[in-house]
Amino acid sequence: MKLKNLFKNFAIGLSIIPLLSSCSGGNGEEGTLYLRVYNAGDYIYCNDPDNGYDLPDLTDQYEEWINDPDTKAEYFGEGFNKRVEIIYDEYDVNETMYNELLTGKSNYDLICTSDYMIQKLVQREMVKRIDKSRIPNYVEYASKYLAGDSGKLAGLTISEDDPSLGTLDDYTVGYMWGTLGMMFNPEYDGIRDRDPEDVIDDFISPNGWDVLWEKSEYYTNCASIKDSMRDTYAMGIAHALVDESGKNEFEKLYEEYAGNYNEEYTKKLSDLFNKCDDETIQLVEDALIELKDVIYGFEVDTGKTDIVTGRVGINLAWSGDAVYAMDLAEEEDNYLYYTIPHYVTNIWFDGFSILEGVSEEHENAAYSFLDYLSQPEVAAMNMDYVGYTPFIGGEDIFDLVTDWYDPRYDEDGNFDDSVATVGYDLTYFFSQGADDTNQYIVHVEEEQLNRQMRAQYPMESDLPHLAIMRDFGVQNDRIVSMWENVKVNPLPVWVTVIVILCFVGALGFLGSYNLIKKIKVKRRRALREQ
Amino acid sequence: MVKKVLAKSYVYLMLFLMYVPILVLVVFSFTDGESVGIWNGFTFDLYGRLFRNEEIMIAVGNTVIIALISSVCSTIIGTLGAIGVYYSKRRTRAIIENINQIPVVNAEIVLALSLTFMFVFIGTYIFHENIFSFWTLLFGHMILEVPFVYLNVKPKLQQMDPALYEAALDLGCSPRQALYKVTIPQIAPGVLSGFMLSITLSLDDFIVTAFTSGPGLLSGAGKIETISTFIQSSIKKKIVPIEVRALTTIIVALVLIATVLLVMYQNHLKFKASARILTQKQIVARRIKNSVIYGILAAIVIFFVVIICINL
Amino acid sequence: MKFRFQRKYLAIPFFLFLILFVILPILFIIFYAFTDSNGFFTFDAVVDFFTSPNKLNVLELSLMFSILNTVICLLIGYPIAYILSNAKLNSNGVIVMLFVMPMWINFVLRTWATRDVLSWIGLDGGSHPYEATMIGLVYNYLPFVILPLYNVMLKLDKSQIEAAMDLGCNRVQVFVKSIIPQSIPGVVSAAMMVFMPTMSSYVISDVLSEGQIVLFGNLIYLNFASSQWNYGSFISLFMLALVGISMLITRNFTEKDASKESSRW
Repeated sequence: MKLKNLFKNFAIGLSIIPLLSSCSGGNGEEGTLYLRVYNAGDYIYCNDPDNGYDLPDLTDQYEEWINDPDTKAEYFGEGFNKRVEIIYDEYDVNETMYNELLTGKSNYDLICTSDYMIQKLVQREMVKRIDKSRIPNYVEYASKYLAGDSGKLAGLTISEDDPSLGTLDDYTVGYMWGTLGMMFNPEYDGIRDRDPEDVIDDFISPNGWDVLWEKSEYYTNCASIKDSMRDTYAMGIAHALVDESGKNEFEKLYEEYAGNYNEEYTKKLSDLFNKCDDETIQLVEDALIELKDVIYGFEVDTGKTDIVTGRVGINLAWSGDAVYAMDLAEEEDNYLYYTIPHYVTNIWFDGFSILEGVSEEHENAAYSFLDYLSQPEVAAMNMDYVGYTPFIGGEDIFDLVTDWYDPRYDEDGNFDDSVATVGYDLTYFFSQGADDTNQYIVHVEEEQLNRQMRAQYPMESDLPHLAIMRDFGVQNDRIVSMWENVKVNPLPVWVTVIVILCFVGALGFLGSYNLIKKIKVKRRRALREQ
Repeated sequence: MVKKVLAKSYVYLMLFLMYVPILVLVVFSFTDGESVGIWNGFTFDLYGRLFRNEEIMIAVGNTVIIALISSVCSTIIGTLGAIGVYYSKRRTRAIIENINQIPVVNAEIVLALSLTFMFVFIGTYIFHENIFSFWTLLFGHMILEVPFVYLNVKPKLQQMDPALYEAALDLGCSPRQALYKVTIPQIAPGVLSGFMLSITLSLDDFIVTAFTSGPGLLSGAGKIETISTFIQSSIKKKIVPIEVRALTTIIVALVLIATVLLVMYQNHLKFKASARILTQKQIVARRIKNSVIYGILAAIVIFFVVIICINL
Repeated sequence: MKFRFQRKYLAIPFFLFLILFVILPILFIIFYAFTDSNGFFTFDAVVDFFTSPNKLNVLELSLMFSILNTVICLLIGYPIAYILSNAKLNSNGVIVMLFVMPMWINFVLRTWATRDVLSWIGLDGGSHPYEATMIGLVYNYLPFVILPLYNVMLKLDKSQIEAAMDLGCNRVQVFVKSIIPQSIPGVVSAAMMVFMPTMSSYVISDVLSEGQIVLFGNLIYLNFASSQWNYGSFISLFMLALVGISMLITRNFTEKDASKESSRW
């Protein structure tokens, strides 16, 4: 960083914010328009030459792009000649962001957040509807599977009670999506008496999530799971929901509709997955408390590095984190796996929404930013850097995916047909609509079925079993307290007694010490007076 | 004798244990493994990367600026406060001292939370905009520091001979002059230690910073990141940036150098005060000893400067 | 009337500062603790706190950690301060400075480094959450104990100790009857520096126990982050009350100090 720049920033920082907008750029621009974006941490392309990312930060690239007079006229209309700049801040978890919005601790124009949180924000009337006609790139390139008229986003209604609120698709521009699955290292030292082959079999078996409970003799103290109420709830409910005979409800549903996973199935699965009546919560709570004894710990975001450094062997991970960890481990010839359970798993989306109360200029800027992000080459850059899978399809992304996973091309692009591959069908994602008859198939090594490829794009056969976890609504408080029950550590009675005794004892000692001192002083004074 | 050795070794053992985590960071600053514990071969690479990493440099800059500004402000307020309170009525003094004690004993998170509530409230109902900025952060740090400055200055005031001030007045000083010429020099050591403690507290703080920071300083229009919030937020993303290990080493080196210099200065003062007469031989020995120490310090500094320049 | 400078006016900025940034924020905490999310008066948070077994459990666990941490820190720190106060090896206060110096390295960073070290020696937070947290707490708060103890030890009345020796006390008796009573104010202020902050520490317990141990600090943060300000406020208020109680109890020690000093002139 140039020293001069530092001083400039310092000067700006000291002066109060309103003054900011009066700083003007060069070449005939009148003032600056700041677009304030709030995104999750490490969720956008950044310049990082040490790891081979040589281009400038994506936000800088955007600034260069939008400040071209022609582009600007396209998004802002003629006569707008302020310079557009981005203020880009990052939060750690959705709840932090929500809290900051509620308290008015921050004022942003554009936020990126997850499905259930958008639901919550819409219900609180905090975000605006999206006008899709203003983001042509998104309309063109976003996968129809997710963002189409009957895509996943459009399938999630904001409120069951009030259909006029519409669906998620009306309020958010999809950014990244993925699944929740289990990442594991079959060679991990901490796994007792279990061959790596068997470990793999355990986890990719149809009831992969039950392993931690049912085979704890092998896996005690090996796994870390997310320190997050929602993700653990998803894991808990997939395991704990059983009927009278002890059969898993999801398994039952899976078998009942075997081979014919129609809309009715999707609806039932979603209802089952989002069940949060008191009885179910109790079941989940018991399961999670049981799980707590078996796992290594809860982590907010260290799981992906812990599994690489060998601190843990199993991690409940979001797909993008899993990709990151698997790539990192591969550099040290350490092969991790990622699987999602057969019967049900959580599919999630992160998208950008424009906040209520944003001025028209800022709204224009927001749309231009969203449209910029939806260009396939930009999305490809993001995907390469972040590890998560963008909403955007299109040729650039498909080429990137082929380039990554097809083992038949060597580094120089030579084609070698003798390498054994299996076809991985991504037509569901890349298809441009009903009239697009192309098949989008990536040829991958067989283990990729349980590695990066599976994490980045779930298998076609997984699709019917992906369920969205909605906002818990009125049951939220109940689940918060369930989560507290899971997290706190009940102490044995004797500890309670000792703690109380110690506390009272300390107070008593200090109190009586003072008293004795006072009495002594008095007595001495009395003696002296005598 | 045995007892002395035992006592000494106990102290040194504890001291060593205190430094284990830091030593680990220092040792691994000379390799570029992704995390502490992975030895990737000896390299000075991190030192160059540290200075090329804009985010860390901004965080360091912010931290230093805030530490300095907040410490200076708190030292002024705290010192004046201590003098003022010391000469107030007994009752007033008792009240103020009790209030002053609250932030010292209070849990940091409660302090941070209460400040946040207040700033949010003021922002919403008085300014009608978000007031989180450099200023809120500054006040947040100051409230951590002022009570400690007060507590450091107070004992010096108590030790001061009150007759001195009276004498100054008698000799024709105005109260203000007497204050500058007599009181302040007398309590200077307390003020200095208060200032140093303030800097330490400010550098070490995480919770208050995380709660009260807003846009400003070197972060420009983004939220102010100090070293601690930067580390915590980068952990939430991926890992502790490995360049931070180099930063740790540099800080340790700087602080050690400062400590050694301070000790030498104290020795010098002591020596002067003792007014011993040395033989020529002893003088030479002293000179040699001093120059060796200065040489080592200079070598350390030059070493790091060279490493950084080469890798930049 | 002409303004006449008086030394006590110097305290005005200090006083205003304390009112603005100590008293006023506390009033906000009190306000939020007794209102609901719409700003109406309610005892919900109070009832919730005292009827929730979880929160009481967290309280107990925090108390346990605080007591243990205070005791262990004192046990380790007291001898150190004592040795340093009259040993030649600390003639310039260098060693004491060295004990405080780790604070210049940010504590978040130190905590993460501690996590690595602990897992190398087999005390990882996954299998030993309690031990790891305890070690982290002691490590972090030891300097806070050593400093006040050291300051008190420096001021120990040497003549009293010598007198005790002359009167025929053996070393143990001197220690118990002279040194310990003289250093009690230091012990109390050291304990105060450790006790409350431990209860509310949240990064240390979170990182070193791998998220398995929830202390008061974590609970407040959890409540704040999940937008339950009122519950968080009440817990904060509860901690403030504890602070108040401990200040009341220990007040005499500090006051005694002051009166002794002021009686000199």
